Amino acid sequence: MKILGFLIITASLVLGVAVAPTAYVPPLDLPDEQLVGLTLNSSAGLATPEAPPADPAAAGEPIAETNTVLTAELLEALRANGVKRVRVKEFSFGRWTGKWWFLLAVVGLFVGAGLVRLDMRQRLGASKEGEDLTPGTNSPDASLSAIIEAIESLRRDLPHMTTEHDREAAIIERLGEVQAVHVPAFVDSRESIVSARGLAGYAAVMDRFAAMERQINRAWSAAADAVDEEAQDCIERASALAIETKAALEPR
Amino acid sequence: MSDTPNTSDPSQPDPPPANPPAHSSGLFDPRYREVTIASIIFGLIVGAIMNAAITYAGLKIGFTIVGSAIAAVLGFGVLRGILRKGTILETNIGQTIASAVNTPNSGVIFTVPVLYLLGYSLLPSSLDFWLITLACVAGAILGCAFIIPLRKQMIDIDRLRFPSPTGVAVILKSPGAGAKKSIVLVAGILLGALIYLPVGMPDLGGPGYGSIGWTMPAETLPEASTGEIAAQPAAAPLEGEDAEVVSDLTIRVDRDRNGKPDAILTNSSFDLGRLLGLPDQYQLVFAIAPFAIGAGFITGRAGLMVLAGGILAYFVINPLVYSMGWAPATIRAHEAPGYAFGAFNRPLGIGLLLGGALMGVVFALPAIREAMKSIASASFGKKKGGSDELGLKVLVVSVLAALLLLFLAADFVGDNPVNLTDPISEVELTGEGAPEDQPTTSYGGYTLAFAGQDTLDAWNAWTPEQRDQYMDANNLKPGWLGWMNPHLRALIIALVGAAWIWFAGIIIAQCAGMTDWSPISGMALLTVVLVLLLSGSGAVVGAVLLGAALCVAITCAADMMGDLKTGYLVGSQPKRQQIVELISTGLGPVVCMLVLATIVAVNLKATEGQIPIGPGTPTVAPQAQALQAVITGVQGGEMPYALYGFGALLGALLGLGAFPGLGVLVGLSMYLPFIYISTYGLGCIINMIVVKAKGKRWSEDWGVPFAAGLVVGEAILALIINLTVLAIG
Repeated sequence: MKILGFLIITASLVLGVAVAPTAYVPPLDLPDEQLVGLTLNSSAGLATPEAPPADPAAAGEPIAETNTVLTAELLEALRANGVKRVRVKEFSFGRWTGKWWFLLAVVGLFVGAGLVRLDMRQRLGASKEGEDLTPGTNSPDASLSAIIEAIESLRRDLPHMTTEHDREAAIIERLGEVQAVHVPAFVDSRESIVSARGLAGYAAVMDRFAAMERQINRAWSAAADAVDEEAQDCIERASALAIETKAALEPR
Repeated sequence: MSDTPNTSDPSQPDPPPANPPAHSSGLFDPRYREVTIASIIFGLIVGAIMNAAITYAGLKIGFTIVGSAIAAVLGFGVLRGILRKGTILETNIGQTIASAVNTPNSGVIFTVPVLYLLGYSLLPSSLDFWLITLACVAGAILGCAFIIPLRKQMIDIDRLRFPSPTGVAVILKSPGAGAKKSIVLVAGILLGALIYLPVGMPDLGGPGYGSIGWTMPAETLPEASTGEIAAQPAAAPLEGEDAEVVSDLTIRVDRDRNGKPDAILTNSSFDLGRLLGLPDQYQLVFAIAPFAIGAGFITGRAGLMVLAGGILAYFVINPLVYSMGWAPATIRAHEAPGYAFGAFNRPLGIGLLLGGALMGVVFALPAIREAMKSIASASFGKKKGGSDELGLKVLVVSVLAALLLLFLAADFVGDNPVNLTDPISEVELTGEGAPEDQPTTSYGGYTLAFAGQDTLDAWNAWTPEQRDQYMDANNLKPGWLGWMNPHLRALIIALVGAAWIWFAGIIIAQCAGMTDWSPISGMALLTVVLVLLLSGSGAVVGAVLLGAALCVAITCAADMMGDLKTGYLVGSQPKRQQIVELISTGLGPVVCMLVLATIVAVNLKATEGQIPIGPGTPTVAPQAQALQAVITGVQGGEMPYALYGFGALLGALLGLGAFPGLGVLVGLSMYLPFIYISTYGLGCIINMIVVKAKGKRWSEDWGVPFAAGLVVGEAILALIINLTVLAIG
């Protein structure tokens, strides 16, 4: 259903943008009453030169220049020249030949969006029944647990390390792993958090998660800059924020 | 690597700290160097230098370069290398300030020069010059202040990628990332600079890629072409061998009619479409732009939507416009993409951007509300640790102060006469020899000046029809607010402008966050149109003043969000970045305006007082020329408003289904030149291939530093070339 929805959205978008330009390009087979008095926004027609041009591939001269006001005589000349449409400054639904196609595109976008949303709703239902919503990705709980474990292991191990260099190396290595693997995995599970908690709930989770992640990032930077005390304080703060994130993630 | 045994026991985790150590919330952290005097001075100096160089380059070539990456690299050189005490976060603050000072230039140079092009005299000795500068300063502060509350929503919650700021973070983190990654980063920088060198060399008079001489194969094409007429040169007839070559050329080989085959490889692009023999209305051209490949790689798969939108615009709409006869008969196949872009793609694309952004805001309301609640609770001390973010009180004060500046500038300018010559005697009212006492009167929402009381009396004696005829002839159509008291009108325009800054800032930040591209000129265009509609088509100075302020604001908003993303990735405290950016960004417009005034003075001297800027001078100001076309278009009633509306409808509906930002992505790609989208898309595809072959982790660990290097390499070399051009004139 999701694929069908996206196909309809794509086709509707292509249709919509393809027919929209005709809004300002009325056909000349409309009655004169609808065209006389309009102002050209581009030149129209191709005049027959009196003598062969020096450059046969040159653009040539138009019959009417931009800003020319359409008259019955000019329309006649343009039609005789084989001109099918002209670009004008004024817009009118009455003159817009592509309006029904555009309306179809609008309906198509609605239908496509509806199908995609219906599919999301069904998947949400499936998730509530215990099915894995995002196969192939870690659950947010698992990713967060891995992050917490990395932080806690540092909290336990750092006091036993004798040199600043060892502590900094441990922080860079373990938090580097968290940054590269576990944080992206947690972020990738957005859909399942939104499904379970709604957008406001997701925002509340990410508010705490991001605060924790920033402390992790700061700890990493401080370790790289050999500012040991700051790095350890950041890990302590990240630990507290991780618990807050876990609490926000728990179902209510 | 730790050499101490891991004593962790996952089964028995330690309890979390009951009272985690509070962090320093002041501007200066005594323990970990972040905001320091050195980083502030460094940022201000580097930012001002970049601003001057990029202002000149932007006026010459029409686009600007991002300064953050350059400042990050320079920051390492100065703060860490020379001063020997810079930290990652200190360098980050340095680049934050530098880009805050540099960034406003794009807002100024896209808008202000249009006044010179329209014949206005704007010199530092005039009040208008300083009013516009003041408005731009207000815009810079407003842009930063408005976007700060959205940081949580865009960075923490929506997790926008921000490719270049991510690249800057990679550079900043390189000291701790290990020697191998640093080598990869440097390799990327060198390759980026090497690829860009032949693009930039022609600016210094050196050879470029075009010197290779890879041209259309003239000897094979006449028979293979589509039966179009064999060309004759438009210039004087050639003789001998040249004449033989020319006789074989077709229009497909020699589009510019100079009697020689066109280049497939130019100094800045590679035309694959012509090499493959695609019909002329399909233009498959790649910009030689390492930064675009790098940004595309960092964006990854998500960037394919931009490529898809570009294909829709340039390979569906443009050929359709040509083949269905929606373009004038005088437009030839290879001219169709350019025509369709201006006539249809751009308004539709900007409309899609607006609609997509609007839908994005609607869908993000719960997240925005949550983010605002979080900031508010932190501001009023209800939440521990909330002092990470600049409080709402400071933001409210900043917004009110900037609004006041905006109102004052709009009010002063709004009261200025709109005519440059006397309506009756046609005596010049500006420049040397202009009458000192110029009585004024109001008509149709405009202030009109006169050379003397006698001509004013003559005006008063005119019939309303005569006056209206004069107003029409001078494009002085009344605006929607033309009937109002001028002060009230200025207030409403300032308020509408501020609301527009907020919305446009979101659009720009979203675009930059998702793709690295910012449709600044498109937003400037809409801003000027909006102000002209409100105040009247003749209120050009006021429209450009507000356009400049708003344009500066949205560029600063995007820059601020990018800097905050970089800061997030290195663990910087948002509040500190926000404070230094708010304080320093006002310097940017002042530097830029003074550089602009200097360039104008030099041009006037070189042209004996004839041309301040634009064609006929080295600084042709391409973006300002585009804006000039828009202003005259509004005055001439040529704006296709319905196309903007239809685009907005499609953009909003696109956001209903897939994800809210889809309309923004598709609109942006329709609005951008395909030459850059194609190169950017190539970067996205390379990323997908690398992820498939080596895995996502490998791509992030090794591919992203290399891609960041490509972005930085081009930017550094471009700055060096710009500075050299600026120095040698």
